[in-house]
Amino acid sequence: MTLLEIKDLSTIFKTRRGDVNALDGVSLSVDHGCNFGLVGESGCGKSTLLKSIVGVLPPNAAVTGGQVLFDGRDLTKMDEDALRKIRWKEISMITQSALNALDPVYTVGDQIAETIRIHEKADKSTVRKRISQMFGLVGIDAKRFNEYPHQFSGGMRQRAIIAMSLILEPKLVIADEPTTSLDVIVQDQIFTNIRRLQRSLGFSMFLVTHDIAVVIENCDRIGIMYGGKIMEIGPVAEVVSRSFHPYTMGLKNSFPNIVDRRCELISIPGVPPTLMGTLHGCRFAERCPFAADICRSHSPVLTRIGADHHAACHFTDRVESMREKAARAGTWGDSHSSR
Amino acid sequence: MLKYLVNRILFMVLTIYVLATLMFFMFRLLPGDPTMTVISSAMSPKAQEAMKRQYGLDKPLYRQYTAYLNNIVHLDFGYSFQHSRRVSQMIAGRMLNTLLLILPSMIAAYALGVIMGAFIAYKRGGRTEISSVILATAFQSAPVFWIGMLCIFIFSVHLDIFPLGHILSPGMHYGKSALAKYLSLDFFHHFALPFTVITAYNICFPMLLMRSSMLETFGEDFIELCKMKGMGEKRIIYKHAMRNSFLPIATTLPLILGWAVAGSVVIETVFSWPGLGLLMVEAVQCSDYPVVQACFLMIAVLTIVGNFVADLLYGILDPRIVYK
Amino acid sequence: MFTNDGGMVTVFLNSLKMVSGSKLGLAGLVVFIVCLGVAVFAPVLAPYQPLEKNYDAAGKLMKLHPPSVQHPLGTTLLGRDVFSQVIWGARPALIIGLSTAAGVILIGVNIGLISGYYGGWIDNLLMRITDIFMGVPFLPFIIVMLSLTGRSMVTVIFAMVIIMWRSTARVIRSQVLTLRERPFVDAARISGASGLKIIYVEIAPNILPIALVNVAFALAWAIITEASIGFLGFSDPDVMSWGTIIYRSFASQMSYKAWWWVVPPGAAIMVLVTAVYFIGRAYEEMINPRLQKI
Repeated sequence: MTLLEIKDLSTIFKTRRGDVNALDGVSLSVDHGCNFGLVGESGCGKSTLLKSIVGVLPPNAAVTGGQVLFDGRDLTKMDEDALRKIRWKEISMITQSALNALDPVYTVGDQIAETIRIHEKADKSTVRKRISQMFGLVGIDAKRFNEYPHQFSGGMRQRAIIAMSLILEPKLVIADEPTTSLDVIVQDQIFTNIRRLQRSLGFSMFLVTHDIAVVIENCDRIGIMYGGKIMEIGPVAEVVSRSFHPYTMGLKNSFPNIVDRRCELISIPGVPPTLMGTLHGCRFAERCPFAADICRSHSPVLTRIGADHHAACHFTDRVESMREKAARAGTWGDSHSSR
Repeated sequence: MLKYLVNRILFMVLTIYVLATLMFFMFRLLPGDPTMTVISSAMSPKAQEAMKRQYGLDKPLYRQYTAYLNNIVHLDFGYSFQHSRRVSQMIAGRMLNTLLLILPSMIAAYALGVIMGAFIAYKRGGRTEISSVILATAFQSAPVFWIGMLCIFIFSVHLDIFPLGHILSPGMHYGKSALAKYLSLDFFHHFALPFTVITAYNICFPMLLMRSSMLETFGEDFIELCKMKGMGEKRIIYKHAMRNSFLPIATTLPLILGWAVAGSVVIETVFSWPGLGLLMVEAVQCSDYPVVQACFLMIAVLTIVGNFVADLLYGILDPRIVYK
Repeated sequence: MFTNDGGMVTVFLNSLKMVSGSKLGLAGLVVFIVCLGVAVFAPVLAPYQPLEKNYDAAGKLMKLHPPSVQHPLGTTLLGRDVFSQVIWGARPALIIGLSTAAGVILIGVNIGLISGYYGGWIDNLLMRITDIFMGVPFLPFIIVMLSLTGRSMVTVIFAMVIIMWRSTARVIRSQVLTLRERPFVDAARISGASGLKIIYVEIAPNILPIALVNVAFALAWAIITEASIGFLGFSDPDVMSWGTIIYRSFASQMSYKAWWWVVPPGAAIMVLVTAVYFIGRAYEEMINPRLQKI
């Protein structure tokens, strides 16, 4: 059953130099009890998508089309008061940098308690007990209730954020690069922890990251995003083993250890497009080694290629040869000079 | 904490000592012999000698210096050249008057400034913001004595609502206690205009600073998270954004307090407010150097103690500060 | 934002371009340039000499005449033309303001650079000295200084500079502390560049934007302070500064009768200082994008 369904969502940023099409017709869905992983480089529109879902876009940005259906309700049509009741209570968030996600001048315990009190009427001792329990679940000593964020280590702060995100037992948890700032061992602990909590609490997760490996380890479905559009989407195993989009192939190359340990590390040269003004053609054409004229003039639509597998590329019929070439470093140009 | 306090207090003493020493040598070594004002060359050599002895000017410099420091420790600033009174007696009441004017206006200015700054930051991008920023900048750019003069011109001379200056009407009696004097309606009548002018003038700085500090805080991740938590906008602003934005403003408090105390020199002149600043200006004009020295040191002490108090307050506000 | 291959002149020109990108900044620049022009061409623009006594047709001294065609801002108690005095007043304001700002930046930036880069006992010593200066009451110190050494413009500038560098030094130091850890400074260090070379070739261009913001604020502050000194009667009596004009009217006790004697010089200070603040603020917003309105 579908918990979150995003249909054809578009978001525009107004800037001094013109409009930026940060999201352009994005569609995806997250099922109950499932994990969806969204992968893309920084600046591809991942954060904009998250903010569009919960309606906390900055004042110069606005959703210009599409729907965000959560449990059957369209969040884009809801007023601020109704949205506020859904935020955190039903959709919570594990944020990117745990260091800045907590207010430095209040204790961690107080901030979590505040989160409860925004949504529920509860007396002090019950709140306190709930937080202690949650601290136990995520592995924080309950005695640290009255400590300030700066007294926590990076890993502990991330646990505190997780405790905060789960305290109201939401249906959906959005995890935005939850472990980027942490070292690999702590990263692993955190994800093990999240998976364990998921078994006991039964929430769905929408994981957003630039690290395709994390998605492979933790998610059921994957979406590949580039330039504000979905490039490829489908079950993780499908998309990773039988990629149809050159960008997916490129992303896989930059994380060598996951699929094929012998594979050499290749990065995609160039930088993501600025998305300013009216755009023609495939967003990835600039950096795509297989781009032809049609790629620059016509934007490919997401087409079905497997049971639940879609990709937006003009050349899905030539995928065999693309896969073969994409595995070779030379195809991607001089990757050493790239950023 | 205790170690920090001790260190901090020792440093305050050192600062005051350095300033006292600076004063001593400035008066002895810079051109323009201050003794010339009391010891006229028309006096007989014998009388001149007697005068020098009276003020201790016949002794070698280092003896004068130690005597000077010793006197300061005992809060003895000698006798005024002009009024033949003990300087310490002249100063005590003046210091109280200065504090009574500066402290309430600075507290009011900071409180109002912070609230108004938060408000215009909240209204960012609109007309309110732009016009407040322009107005506040222009107001803060005008010299405060000029604003004082214009206010006297409008409210005292033309509308005749407030007195022209001074702290109390001449010839009035308020009984024996000093408290009755400062609680009298007459005092507040005199106090109102200078208080309002200083407050209004000093609102601008914390207000503009609070605005930019708020704008910076709005970009912080934890504010965004507050929104995602479903927190109401008012709660975000008052509980989280303001508290955090206030921190950088609190760090400027000592500096501004210093300006305000030092700036009392001009404001007291305009309003003929009998405080340390006015006393100092008058003393400088008639070369009454013991009084000048004493006023300068007392204003410095006010500044330094103000810095200290503001630092301690900051430590209470920001849990990340640990005093070592 | 600024790399170390820019060169100071380029950075300065870029800053001008950035300031004029904001409406308030541009307005500030225009007003400031007009004031500079007024100061330079004061002898041409002022219809009378600032200290010249004016007589009417009957040969009577024009005492406290309200504004007229002949004297657009009226006359003083001694029959002097207020308009001409205000025009001439732009000179001392800008000379004292700019020299003070230059001195403040020169000392403040160097102390901040050295303190921030070397750290250790040098930093400790310099910052303790700065702390002591923080305790010096600004205006009273200048007054004492002037009363002892005579009331010349040079003394005013000197007295302001030796106190005002303190806040600039602190700001620059904290900026240098973060720059010190940047890769390009490390690179220079590894390649064997001397401490002084790193400070002035690698770090200095990067703190220039912050220093320029401080120039603006020091300038504004210096102009107001100079006016205060003038108002208290401690300025050079032969130079007609805006503060001195107000002082003369205040001391003559005529200020509450002749508004035209008081309002214009104060307004001139306000306009000039506002312009300087706008330039500084516009520039500050440009180099700190978080302050920008989206």
